[in-house]
Amino acid sequence: MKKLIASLLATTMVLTAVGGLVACGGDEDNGKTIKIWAPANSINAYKALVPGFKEANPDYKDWTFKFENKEESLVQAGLADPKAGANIFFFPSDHLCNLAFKLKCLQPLTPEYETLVKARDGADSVDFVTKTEGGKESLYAFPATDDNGYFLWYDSTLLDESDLETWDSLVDAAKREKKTILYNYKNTYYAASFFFGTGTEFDYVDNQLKEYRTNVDGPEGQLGGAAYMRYFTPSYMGTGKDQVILASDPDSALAEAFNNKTIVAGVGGTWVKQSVMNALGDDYSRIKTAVLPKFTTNGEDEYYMESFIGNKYCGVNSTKSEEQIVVSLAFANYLTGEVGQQARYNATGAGPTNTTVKATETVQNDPILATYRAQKEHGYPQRDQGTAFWEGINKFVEQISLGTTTQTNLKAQLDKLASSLRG
Amino acid sequence: MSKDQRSATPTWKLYNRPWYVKLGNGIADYFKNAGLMIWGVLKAIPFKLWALLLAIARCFQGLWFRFVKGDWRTKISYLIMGFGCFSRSPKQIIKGLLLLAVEALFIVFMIFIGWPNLYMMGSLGDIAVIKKESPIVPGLIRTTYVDNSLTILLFSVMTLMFMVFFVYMWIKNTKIAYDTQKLVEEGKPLSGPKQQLNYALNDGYHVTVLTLPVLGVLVISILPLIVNILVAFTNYDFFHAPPGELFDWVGFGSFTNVFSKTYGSAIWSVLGWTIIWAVFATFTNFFFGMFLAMIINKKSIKLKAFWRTCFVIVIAVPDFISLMMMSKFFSYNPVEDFTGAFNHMLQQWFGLNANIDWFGTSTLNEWNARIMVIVVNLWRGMPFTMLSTYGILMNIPEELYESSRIDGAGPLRRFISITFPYIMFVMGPQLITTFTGNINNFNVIFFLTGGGPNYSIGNAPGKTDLLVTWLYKMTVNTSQPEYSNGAVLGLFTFIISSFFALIVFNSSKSVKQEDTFQ
Repeated sequence: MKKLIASLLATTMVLTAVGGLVACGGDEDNGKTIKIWAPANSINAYKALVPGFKEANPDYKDWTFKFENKEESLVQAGLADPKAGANIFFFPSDHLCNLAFKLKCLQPLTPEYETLVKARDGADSVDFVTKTEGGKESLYAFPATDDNGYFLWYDSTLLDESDLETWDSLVDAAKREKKTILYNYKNTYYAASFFFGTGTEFDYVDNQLKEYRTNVDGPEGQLGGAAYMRYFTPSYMGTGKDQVILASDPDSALAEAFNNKTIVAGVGGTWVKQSVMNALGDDYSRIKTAVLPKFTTNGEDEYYMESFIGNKYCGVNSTKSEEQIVVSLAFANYLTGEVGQQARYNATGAGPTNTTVKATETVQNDPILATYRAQKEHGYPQRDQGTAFWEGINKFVEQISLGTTTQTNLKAQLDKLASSLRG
Repeated sequence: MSKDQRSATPTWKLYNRPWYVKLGNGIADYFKNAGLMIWGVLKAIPFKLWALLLAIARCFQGLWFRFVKGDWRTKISYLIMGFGCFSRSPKQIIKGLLLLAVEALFIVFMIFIGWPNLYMMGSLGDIAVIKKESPIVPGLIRTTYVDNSLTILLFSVMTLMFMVFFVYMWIKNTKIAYDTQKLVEEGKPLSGPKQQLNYALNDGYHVTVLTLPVLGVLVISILPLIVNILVAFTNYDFFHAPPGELFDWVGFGSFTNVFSKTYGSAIWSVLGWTIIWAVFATFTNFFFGMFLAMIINKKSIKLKAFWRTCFVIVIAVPDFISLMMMSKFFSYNPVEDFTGAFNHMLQQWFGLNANIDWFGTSTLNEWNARIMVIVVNLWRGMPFTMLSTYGILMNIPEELYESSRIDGAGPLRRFISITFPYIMFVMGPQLITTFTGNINNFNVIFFLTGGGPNYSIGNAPGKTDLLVTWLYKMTVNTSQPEYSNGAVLGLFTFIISSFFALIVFNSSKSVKQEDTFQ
């Protein structure tokens, strides 16, 4: 009896020790299956393209294409173990260096695909993804969409064109209508636009993301700091019930605010269109979009607010077998070609990078994409950034909004920001 | 430490001194004992080392002796394990073949996994990635991962562990060969397969049954522990992360990073707050729980079970939910429409025009956060101590109180002389255990403040960060993790925790040696 119990206990010990290993097993190279990670709203459109691809490439007709839902911003985390990740994935522009040069899992395009992409996609999209490594210049992904930015959404029944010129006129209009403006100045993504507007730069110099270059402690940065001091101090914004500029996340709050008619305008991305349309239904026609307003630091010099702009790219996993890479390249090329981008636009309204699709009437007349194109002229391309950037600017603006940063210690705060960015 | 070795101020010296002198002496004695115990351990180290060296020397001596005195079969079994068994008699074939199998498995392991990784342990890999053009598809650049520093480290340590195990088996093998030879020389019969099986299932059953679990525990629990400690001596972080990149040994570089270069003196303020938090968390819970139990225990209170249940319901709700709820309840937004429920309550129910930043998140007030964290922990932890002290209180014999009342002792005197010593005697060790546990109390801090108001950016600690929450922030909750710095922090936390755990060990021994209380 004792022996039986002893052996049972020992077996349990082994099982509990080894049980954790059951979860890991890893994906073997599953032969002729290509796994694709795509955002949820585009999967159906892309699935419908598979028969056309197989018709155009009869060599690959016995390959299976499996689609999985993964939002673009989560792909980087999902590729922490590249060998177990998907063959094809979509990622935003600010994950390029991390994926290509740190994880080293982005497959550079072969010369034939390079010529195809250069011929059919917008030059800025192509240039962004062309990187030089080891003396060789290559494209690291296929451009997929070009609409990753934000601008001003406003209620056209309350505001007219003249109110949208500058921040001051916008705030005056809000006070006139006794409503508020939704601008998430607590989030670096939206708040950094004043710094970009005065010409401050925040970028990694090298592909390996080791050296940072910024001039936030120089004259441009000081102009930006002065702009924040002008617009985001409690005395300008108002406090409590009188606060004119409210910081809420536009993705969740913008639609509801327009529906409840509590705001005259808000700063949101191209992607809030769906939620605003859903919330307002037929009333949607009163909501229009415009380029972000100008701001001033001293009442005289005017600068444009520069939003983040960027593309989304379609990358191929370079750690898979050669056979799979060849097929993945072909399929990724098809998904981001004219047919693919047209299908994605029809399904989701995503802005295309393909010049032919861009020139079609529907795309040209799309109001969201038209505003995005106009905003692109005052746009800052979104490249890889680290925690120091996202949290640093966040804290900087927050201190101003709470009144703890004043004119006297503004320069010190800018210097602190610069040194923490440079590491 | 025996009772004679421990130092304690003799009772006669403290006979008529006031209570604070006695308390002070008690605390001083306590720490003196702890120090003496640690000093005892340190003093014993050279002796232990010497004993170890002697054991190793004896081992070599035994090996040499067996080689010299052994016959040709024993000598060959130094090279081919098990030869001494199966070549001597067919009865020992199984034993011999098992030993040979161990050697064969070890050699196979070394060829395929052991040597390639051990060879690179010093450099932790030379090239991470190779890019070359594919011979089949023109223009296709293929990326292959070559050296992975983390797996090299892992498998090297595993190889070292298996090498130790193999050496042990080899020495045992020589002993077996020599013993078998001796048995044959003396004409004694050798054990056959049946006897060996019997041995394996009866006398030697513990070996049979525990070999696999012990190996499992070694590989799955001890191995990662050793590798994590070794990571503290590398520069493994976001910028040196396999598989795309290599990391190297940097000796004490990560230690200097954590203690001076990157984080300055932040670690000492975090340590200070950790100790203060542990002290306050433990002792406020204890005293308030005790007072609550005393109040509920009073004869004049009706519906004792109802009051107890009210407080115990707090325990029923999981940590995660109740703490998250508390952090939202006391949240603060400068715009009064969006501020937390408690502020709303103050404004609407009590008419106070107060919008207070309870957790100090927006106004970056660290003391608000620290006090609130202790108070919320009190709310959550009080029922536990209340229940334990309630049980103790019920057990105090009534005669003590009656006799003290007859002697004219007031309520405060009764508390200090009867109730409190009784409770401390029972709860003393548990208090210190709770104190050690509170040093690593991750849940409360993380869910309430996430580490507290943060003046700095990056992975620097916030104002209510404990050592463990800072470790979590540095390695998991960040976009640029620093694993080597995290390992250093983990080692440091271990040293601090084990220091207090040693004190617990000391105190529990001293309590055990008290014969009776009174």
